[in-house]
Amino acid sequence: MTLIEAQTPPPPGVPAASRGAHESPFRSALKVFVQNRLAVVGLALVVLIVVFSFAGPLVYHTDQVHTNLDQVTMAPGSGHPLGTDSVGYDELGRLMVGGQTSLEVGLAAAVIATLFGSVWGAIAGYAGGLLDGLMMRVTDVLLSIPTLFFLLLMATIFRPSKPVLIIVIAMVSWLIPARLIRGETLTLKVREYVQAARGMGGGGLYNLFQHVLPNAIGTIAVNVTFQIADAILAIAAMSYLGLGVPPPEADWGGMLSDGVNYSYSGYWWLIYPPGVAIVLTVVAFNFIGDAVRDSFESRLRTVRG
Amino acid sequence: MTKFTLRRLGQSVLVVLGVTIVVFVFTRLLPGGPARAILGPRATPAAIMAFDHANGYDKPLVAQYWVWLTHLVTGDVGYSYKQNQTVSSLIADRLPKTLLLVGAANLIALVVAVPLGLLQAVRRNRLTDYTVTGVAFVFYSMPLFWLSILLVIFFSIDLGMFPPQAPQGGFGDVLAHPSGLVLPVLTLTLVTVALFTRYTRSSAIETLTQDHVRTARAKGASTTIVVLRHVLRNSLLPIITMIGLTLPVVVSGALVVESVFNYPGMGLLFWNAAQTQDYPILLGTTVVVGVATALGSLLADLLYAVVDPRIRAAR
Amino acid sequence: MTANPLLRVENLHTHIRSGDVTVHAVNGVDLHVDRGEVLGIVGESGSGKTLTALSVMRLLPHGGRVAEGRILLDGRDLVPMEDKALRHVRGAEVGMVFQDPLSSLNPTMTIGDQVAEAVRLHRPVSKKQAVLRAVEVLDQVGLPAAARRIHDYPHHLSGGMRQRVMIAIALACEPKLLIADEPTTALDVTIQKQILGVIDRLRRELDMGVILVTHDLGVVAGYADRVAVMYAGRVVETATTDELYGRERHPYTTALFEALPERAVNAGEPLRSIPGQPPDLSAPITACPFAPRCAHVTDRCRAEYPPASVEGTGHVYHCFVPIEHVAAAPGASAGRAVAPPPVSERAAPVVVELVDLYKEFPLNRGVLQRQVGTVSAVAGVSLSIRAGETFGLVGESGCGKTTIGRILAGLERPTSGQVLYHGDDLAGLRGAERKRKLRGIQFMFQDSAAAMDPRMRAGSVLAEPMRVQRSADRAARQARVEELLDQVGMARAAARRYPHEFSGGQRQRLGLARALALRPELVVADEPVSALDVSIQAQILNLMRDLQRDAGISYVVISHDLSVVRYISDVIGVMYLGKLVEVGPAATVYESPAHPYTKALIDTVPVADPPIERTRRANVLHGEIASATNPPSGCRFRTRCPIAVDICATTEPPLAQLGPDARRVACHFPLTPR
Repeated sequence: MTLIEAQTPPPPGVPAASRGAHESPFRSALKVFVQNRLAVVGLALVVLIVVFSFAGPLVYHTDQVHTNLDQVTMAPGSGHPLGTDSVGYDELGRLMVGGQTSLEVGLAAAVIATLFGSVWGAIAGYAGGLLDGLMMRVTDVLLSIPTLFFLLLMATIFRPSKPVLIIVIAMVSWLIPARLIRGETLTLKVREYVQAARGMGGGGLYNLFQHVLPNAIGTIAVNVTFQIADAILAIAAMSYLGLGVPPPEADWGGMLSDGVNYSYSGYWWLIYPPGVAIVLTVVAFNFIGDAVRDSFESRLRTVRG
Repeated sequence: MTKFTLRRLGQSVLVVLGVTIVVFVFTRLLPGGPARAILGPRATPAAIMAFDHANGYDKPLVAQYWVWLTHLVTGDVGYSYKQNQTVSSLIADRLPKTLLLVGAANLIALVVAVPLGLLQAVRRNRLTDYTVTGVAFVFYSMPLFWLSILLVIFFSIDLGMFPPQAPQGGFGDVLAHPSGLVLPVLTLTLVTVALFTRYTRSSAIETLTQDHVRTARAKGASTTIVVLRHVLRNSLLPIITMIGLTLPVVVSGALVVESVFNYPGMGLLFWNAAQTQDYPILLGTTVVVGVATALGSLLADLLYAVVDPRIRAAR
Repeated sequence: MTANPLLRVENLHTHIRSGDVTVHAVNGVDLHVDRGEVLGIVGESGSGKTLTALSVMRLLPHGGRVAEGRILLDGRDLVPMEDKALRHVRGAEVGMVFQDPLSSLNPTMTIGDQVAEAVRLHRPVSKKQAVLRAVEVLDQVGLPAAARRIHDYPHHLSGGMRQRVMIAIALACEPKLLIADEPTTALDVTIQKQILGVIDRLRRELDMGVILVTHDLGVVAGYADRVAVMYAGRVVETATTDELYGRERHPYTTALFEALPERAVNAGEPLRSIPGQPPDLSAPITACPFAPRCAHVTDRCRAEYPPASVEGTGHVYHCFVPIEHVAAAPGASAGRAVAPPPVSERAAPVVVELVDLYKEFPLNRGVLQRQVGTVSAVAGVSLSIRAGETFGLVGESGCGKTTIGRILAGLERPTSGQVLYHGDDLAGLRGAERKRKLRGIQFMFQDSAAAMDPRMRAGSVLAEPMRVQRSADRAARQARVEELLDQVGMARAAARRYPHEFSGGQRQRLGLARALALRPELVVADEPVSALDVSIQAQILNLMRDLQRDAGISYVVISHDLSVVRYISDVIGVMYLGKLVEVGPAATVYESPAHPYTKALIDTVPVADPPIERTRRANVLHGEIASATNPPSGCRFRTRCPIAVDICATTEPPLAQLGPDARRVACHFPLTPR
């Protein structure tokens, strides 16, 4: 039995009713999610990182506004557990502040992009025909311009700041959810329960909001998590290319790109903390996204049984 | 398959036109208008008027676009006043190098990632699978510039195996010094492998659950035969789509890799232009990269039609 | 029982683990198959019949394993066998045919390559020789022009042809044993007959043993030498086919027979259903698993599993209170006069009338869905449905019956023609007027699981029609939901549960309840029981009948299953390729079909009566349904009709009155005289 790895259908002979009483689809999805160890690890990591970034500065006070050129690139030691950076900011405190930027921008951009993309995709998919073709060509066009080129172009025109970063990243990130939700809408709108509602006399908008979008929630939720991860990477890349948030604000990508300038000087504390923070955050969100997807898929499996 | 090809070609034409429109809109968005942005802040009003007239910027918007588009079609992508060169000559020099980088990375990634993904699917939820997934996740999650520099430190500084900089000459020079290509290609490949294994794995897992795989096993086929003859063939289709879909991501990656390794491709050209705010180059490169990416996706889709008999049948 | 059968399965236990649940799917099965013999395994879904078959091939799904027992093929035990040795058994010694011929074939390989692959895996032949052998086998299974078609891909072939290819793959190396798992369930009856004929012929030619796994008691009756009846992972009764279909001893077997609609019709009495549901197999069952549903249950049945009782030549059953047969009662020869149900002759007013209805669909091909033609799904159908009457619409897939149902319920608009509902043409109505009018006609879906939003509780599902139509306030809706649940025999607490928590039969009850929510005059039921097991099917059919009697509603019942339609309908309409070919009172149409197609349909439906079914083996309707994109000229059935002559190709026969019985038929040469 090495090969057939069937997405095990609910075993025959187990009456569906015996699987726990009145379990809403959401609840059973949650159950599967919790059973996934990687998901729990991912969630724990995210909580940890959020607490570190936002609650950390309340406990660990540092000056993240004024440079201190007397204390640059100090190795970790007393007073500075992670040393100081090239302009004298405390690295640990900076990591917290930078985390705030990365998380805020990532989350905001992902949510805006997914909301806008979902609505765009749902309208295109449900309307079909010419409107669908037109709307999808628009996404095709924007998808053809590679993200970083687009971002850089925008960034040369608009001065980078937190809100600008959010908007700019959202502007390139909505395309994927738009495509996904359109595909989902196409399959959902021909489902028999949507037809049944049509047969009862339910109109297009009723069906879209009563049956189609609620059933696409899984896809939307999965997308948000992946988008957060990608947005955090995009911020890092932009910072490296010199288009991150201007000082004294900070973000992990900027800290890392600043740090790698000292790769040959052995200032490891300027590189690994922000680098590892990025990797952990991105991995954590990916774990969560994978698990959310799995749990929603398994929900659909049980329903079909 | 002519009908499919024609329709897909039609879509690509629309997309390419769309790309030009987007870039044109950017020209209009440039700070202080195109003339000031391109000629620089110290340009005289007379020079600006002359520039606007020469490039048709004094005409209505649609006419402006038309002028710009006709220039584009004849190969006139603009003129860089900062570099005193036509953008097209710059691109002609840089584009082949980026194609080489992206092409090599995609090809090697395919060769590595497809077998890996298949192996993961067969060994689903076992150590092999978890290990590959974990490694792929880490490569995917590392900012590319950091990964590049780590590779430079390891292979160039510590081991001295490959130069940390790409060859700077023309296309021939790049080909003549393959060792300089190793690190840029390796970096881009690692990320692409990370992307591809995930797709291949999930696509192969889906194929493995299909009934025809059970039929193959009922014939007495071994796991190897089942995977090579049945699963691979059926997973290939989503994999080809994947190449088209991930192309923009890989090209974005090329931008970072080129700037780290000082690899004289489109990405580096673009980045340098972004730092000097050399708008003609920025816009020209964006058009070319956008069009090239759209054509790349087209190619992948056409390949899809060649591989899948069901689409081939829809003549 | 011979001393050394081809295959002997002893005390087989197969477990399937899924998450933290272990299902004891096969629970101590004993059976054997001799060379040249057909063993039928019948059972309802979840009885373990398919998993028994898969256990023999060791092709169990993920999480499945043979926990105990022996599987002896020619004396060698397959259970402990290494993977490598097992591969030589699969394909070379045991061939297998699966249920769904489309998904079971590799879509990206030509059929020739797929058959040749099976040859090359076991025979040291060149590629060319393998292809030659493939052509030979494909010829044997009756694929027309095999040498040319080996370059075709599965999607080029019809369902029946695909199943022939599957059989060719299974038989490419002339195995000793063929396992056919529901080989015809996905096919139309006329095609089913052809495929069963092919399997039977090849069994004789190759002297193979065959295991025929099916849920259909009719299929087994005609083709099996012996039958094993499975329930809850056990073989509860085994006997020769003739013995079983007349002198069955296990109450479950009897219950299965009694749930068959054709028996009820022949006996002129309501269908007997089996109460309750099959047991949960996630815990081992030590008592008789049928005890909770058995009419003859004793305390002992609930305490221990009955040991095997042997009787005569190999009639084995597991029961403490076996059925006693006084006289050979069943086998009710079709001659028994059926009291025609009192059709309230023409008194009832017409509720809905279809006038010259046409529906054409654009034919789209490929991923891009380019339109390459039109499919003529319904071509000029006129019929009327009277109050309180059940109109049964029957025909093979692609005949347009479902399209008519969907047009009736307003899910689809006709290309031309009228749908007159109390004189108003629904097809012409728009907006609010249409929405209001359509209240009176409701649709019941084949698959209620798919037709209910998985995120809604059953209560909301039932209330939705009222909510959409704004026909009642919240309290009134609530009250109506409870009333509906009562009507369909479900607990009121069910309103709080989600669709996936119900069994198939319960969901179908909900589907019926939802269709009734707006108190319609007409319910269109599309294949209402085709996804259900016989025992559950009977429950639903009886429920539909009861509700009709109480509420006086009309039904249009759409089904491919003639016996279901016969049981529940007052009037039957037979469709072929978009045309109504015969319509009339159910008993008349069924007893003396006038259209050759109706007759062919009746003749090919397997009957659960071995002597009769065997004599009907030769009644095969050849060929396959013609293309609806390019339908035949004249009579659309002529390409398959055994009595077609020239005029059939040139002139389309009109639907004309025949006999005194309000029957109409569209044939130049009706089988019963005018």
